[in-house]
Amino acid sequence: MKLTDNVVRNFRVAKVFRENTERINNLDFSANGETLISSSDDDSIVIYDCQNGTPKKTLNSKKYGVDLICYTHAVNTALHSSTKVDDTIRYLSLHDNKYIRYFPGHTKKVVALSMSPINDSFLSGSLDKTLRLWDLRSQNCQGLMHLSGRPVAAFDPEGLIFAAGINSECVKLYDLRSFDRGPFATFKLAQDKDCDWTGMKFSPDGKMILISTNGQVVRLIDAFQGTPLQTFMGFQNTKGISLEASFSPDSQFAFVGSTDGKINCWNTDTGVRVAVFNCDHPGPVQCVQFNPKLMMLATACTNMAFWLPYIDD
Amino acid sequence: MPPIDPLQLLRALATLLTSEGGIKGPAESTRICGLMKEASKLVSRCIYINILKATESQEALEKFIEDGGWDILNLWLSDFKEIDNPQLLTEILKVYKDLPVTVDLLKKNSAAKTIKQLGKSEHEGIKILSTEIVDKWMKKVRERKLAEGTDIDKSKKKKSSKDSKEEKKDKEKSKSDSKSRTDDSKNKSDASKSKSEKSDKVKIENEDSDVVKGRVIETPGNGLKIHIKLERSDNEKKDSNDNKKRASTVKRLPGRFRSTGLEEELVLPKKKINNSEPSSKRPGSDQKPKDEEPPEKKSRLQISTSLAATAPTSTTISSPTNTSPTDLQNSLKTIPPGKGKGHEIHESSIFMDMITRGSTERQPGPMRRKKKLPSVNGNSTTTPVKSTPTPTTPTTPTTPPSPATVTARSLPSVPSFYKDTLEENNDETEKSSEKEKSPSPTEEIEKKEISQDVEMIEPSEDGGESNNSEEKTEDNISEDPNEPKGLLTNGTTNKKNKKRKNVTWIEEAKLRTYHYFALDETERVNVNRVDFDQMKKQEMMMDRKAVESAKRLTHDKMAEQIPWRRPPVIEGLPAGIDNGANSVEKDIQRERELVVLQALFFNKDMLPDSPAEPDLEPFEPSDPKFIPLEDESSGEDNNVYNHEQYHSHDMTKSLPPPSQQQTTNPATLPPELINMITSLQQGHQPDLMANIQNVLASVMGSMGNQSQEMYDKVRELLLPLQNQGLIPDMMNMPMGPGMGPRPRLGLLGQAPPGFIPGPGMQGAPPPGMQGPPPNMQGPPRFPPPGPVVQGEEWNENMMGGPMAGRGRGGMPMRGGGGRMPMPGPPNQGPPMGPMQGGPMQGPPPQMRGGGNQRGGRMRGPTNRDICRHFAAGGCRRGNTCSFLHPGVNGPPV
Repeated sequence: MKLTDNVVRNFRVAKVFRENTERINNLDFSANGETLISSSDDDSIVIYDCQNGTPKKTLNSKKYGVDLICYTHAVNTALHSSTKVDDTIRYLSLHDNKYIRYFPGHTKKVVALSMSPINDSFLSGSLDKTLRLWDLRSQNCQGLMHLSGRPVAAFDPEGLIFAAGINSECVKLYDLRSFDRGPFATFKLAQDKDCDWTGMKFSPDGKMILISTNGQVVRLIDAFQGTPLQTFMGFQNTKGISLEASFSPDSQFAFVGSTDGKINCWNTDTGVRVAVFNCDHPGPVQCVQFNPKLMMLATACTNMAFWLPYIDD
Repeated sequence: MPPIDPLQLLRALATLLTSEGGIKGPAESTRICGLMKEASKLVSRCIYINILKATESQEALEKFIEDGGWDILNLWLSDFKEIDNPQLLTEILKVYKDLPVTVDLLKKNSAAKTIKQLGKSEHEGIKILSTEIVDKWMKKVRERKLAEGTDIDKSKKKKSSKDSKEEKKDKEKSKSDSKSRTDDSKNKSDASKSKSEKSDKVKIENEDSDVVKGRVIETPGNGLKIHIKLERSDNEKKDSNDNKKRASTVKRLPGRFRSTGLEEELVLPKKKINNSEPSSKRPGSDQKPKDEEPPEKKSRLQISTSLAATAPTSTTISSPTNTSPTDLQNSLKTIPPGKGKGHEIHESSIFMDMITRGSTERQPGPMRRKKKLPSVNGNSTTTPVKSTPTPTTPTTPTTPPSPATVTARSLPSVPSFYKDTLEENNDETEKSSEKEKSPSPTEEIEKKEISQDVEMIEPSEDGGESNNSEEKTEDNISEDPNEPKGLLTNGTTNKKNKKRKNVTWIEEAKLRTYHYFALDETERVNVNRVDFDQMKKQEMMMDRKAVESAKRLTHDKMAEQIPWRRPPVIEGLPAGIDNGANSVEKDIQRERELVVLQALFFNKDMLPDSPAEPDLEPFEPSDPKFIPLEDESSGEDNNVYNHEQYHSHDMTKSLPPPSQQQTTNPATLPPELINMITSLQQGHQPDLMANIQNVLASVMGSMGNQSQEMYDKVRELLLPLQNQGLIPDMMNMPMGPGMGPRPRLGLLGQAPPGFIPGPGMQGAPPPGMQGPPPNMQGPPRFPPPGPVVQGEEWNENMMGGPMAGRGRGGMPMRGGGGRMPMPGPPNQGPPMGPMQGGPMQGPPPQMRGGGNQRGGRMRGPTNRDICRHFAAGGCRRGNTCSFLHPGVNGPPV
């Protein structure tokens, strides 16, 4: 089955999970799309089986809290930031429910966490206005960048470069092998005055960068020139919270949640809003992600919803 | 007596016999039985045996047995055994073989035991015969046991023991035929070394003791012993009855019952046999077997004491208890005790205390006995009820009980939760387990938390076991006494008594099981001491949660609209990169997971609150590399793509477009400017609005307002400029900060200088332009305006432009600073009115200048900044440079 406008329009909620009592603050699909890991403000980590549409495992992290969780390359390990005690990033083995390593360094809440698609590096950005580059194998920070505002960061799908969003107005691209020599490209964009960038994602084909904000706008720029391609608006974000925006695996569509529980979908080529799903999410839909391999969309407020296309091939 | 003529005798009996020589029938068998009682000569006995052998009528045989033939035969058997006449034994065994035997009969006297013992005899025929008989009887016993379940038959024990004996016999056979009993005993002891064989030995010993008993009966002093035996049986029965009647107060594992019932029949019997026998040998144990033992092993002194005690014992018979027998023994043995060692007594006393306590608490009977016995015997050792230790001492004067045995004793009484599993024939395991638990029983009793279960256990298995294991060394000695010869002679018995320091277990039947529940303090707290406040809190929390979830759920109308199915794979995806291909950690973790146990949680309650902390790993802290914000190696602007204007498109709808980039560092500005900047920064839109409305009617206001109307007006104003072609994109520039400057510039009429492209601007004549660095942004430019900072008005005006564009201090300044400076001052004085008209036309050039400078970056004609390198004299990228080369790849400035 291919992703087309028609298919996307026919996505429906096929599963609703109410495993959490608080907002789900982040989710991440495994690379093969078979499992989904989610972190919640109720300090629990829930892993779902995407094939069978069932919760698979639940772990608690009541001591440190859990936010911004993401899988690492090992099947059973995940990386997450903390909401309690300190702002250390923690590397967790889901296999035996034990932390493998801590990555201390940030002094304020971590707001960006991105795992390299191919190796063990990962990026973290924090409200302490620093962006750090790490390696899973060492608790020593590998690279440190001082900014003047809230950072956002992302690896490109090939894991060769990473992008850092600075001051909500500028994107700098770094070569992972020579990041200490400065950015090889800088895109200056008009600063968003009334909102901050809260997230940044490369499209799976590496050609676009999607910048989500805590305002009512999501920007799509060209990943090579920084040329603004589209600006997605018209969804609701009344609370100034960060709403995740994400691509479909074919880079053809962009999904954004909203505070009124709706899901918006735009075509990245045309900028046309393909669909608005009203799925009765009781809270702001902060997390929206498309399964990287399967025809499945996951959205989350306090509930987790799995979506499937309601048509046959 | 004259020698008896067998023929004569036969003839006389002829009337009673059939033609084959057997007894005619039941009636005749009574007479024969009577005759047999008188027969003391070997000849007559032989004849009677032959008659019995020839008897085929079961009825007659049954009658014969009924009329006392059983006892007679037993007597003869023991006699024959004593004189050690293999032929006679063979014959009598043949008779036994054919006798219709019942379990009750087997219980009646020691014939079974004797025969069992004969199984060990060196005479091949006897051995075979006796084992056959034993097997046959065992079958019966088993059948009966199966039927009755709880009945404890010595015969059963005999069976098992016989089996074991057979094994032993084989061993013995292999050995030299030296037939001294000591040798046998040695063999036994050897066998006993192996655990499995231990029990066997015990059994053997038991059998021996049985034989002894039989003999004892014959001996003059044996009457006493007989009494004792009777007591035993009575006691046993009563005990068993008691056990049966008593409802168990303790929770039992289901397996327990089974084991006591069926398993015990099979397994325990052996043990029991062992126990009873050993116990008989070791007076220390309180039970009847011990009673029996005294006669065998003990000197006549003991017997006499027992005789003396008989009266009491007989009375006690009515109320037999565990303790009573021991007491009796104690009393009996008390005489020897003087030799006993105090230490041993003490050790054993713990165990005995427990037993007596338990028994006293539950069974009044034992108490009586104790009391009575002491009084009867008048022994110094026998003292108030708890003198239990004393009994052991007397009984075990010769062999000091090893501590292990002591503990072992305590074991049986201790309830072992795992007994079910352990009980399976593994005496040793039982012992060990019991030993571990031995301390607990006392605690239990003291705390009275114990609920006791009386288990109907056949004669003490434990005792037998303990005996076996602990008395290995003593086996030779102890077993020897068991054998009949030694028993009969007083001297030998005395010696044996001296040597004996045996510790024995209570009979299995009298053992009690206590279930001990260790006191777990924490559990206590949780279970019993419920903190009211805590409960309250808990409940509140639960309520709150319930309410929250209810709230959540009431708003949660989310429903599944379609059924779940396996999500199809997305087709047409480009072959992605191999995810995590270069990850080393991936492999590290995979290997780790191979050796680390997975954490499994079957329900949410099992979930730990937090994952386990990581292992500490050594690491050398190192400073991270600094990631620069700018590319320092190559030209600054080389790879800078400026797209700010795009945003302005978006912004037109809702937001004012951002104006310029921030390169200026406010810190480098002259103080006046800084002041200005800060004031600008601090300015709020409402203020702006007010000022603008006051001062400027429309233009400035529009810029502040960002309203479409205003924007249109501005556009109108700008139109002329655009017409000139100098500001191609001006129209697109909504209300950037540039707006402000333009009019002013216009006012100033400094158009010409403005024409000069960015760099040129510097040289621009206009006042503000004097020192301007190529980029216009530097402070040098500002100085001129410095003076300009005449009034707030100016600021406000300025703000209209810059502020609207940006909130940032640095940026607006630049914008404003660049061109505003000169116009600024003039503007202020005059109201805006004039500005509007005039400025526009005159200043166009200027505007452009401004446009280039700022707009150059933000919205210049090509939307690009002017290439710094081009301005400096040459850009190596030439036409490919993404920056503006005025007049080359973009419109001239």
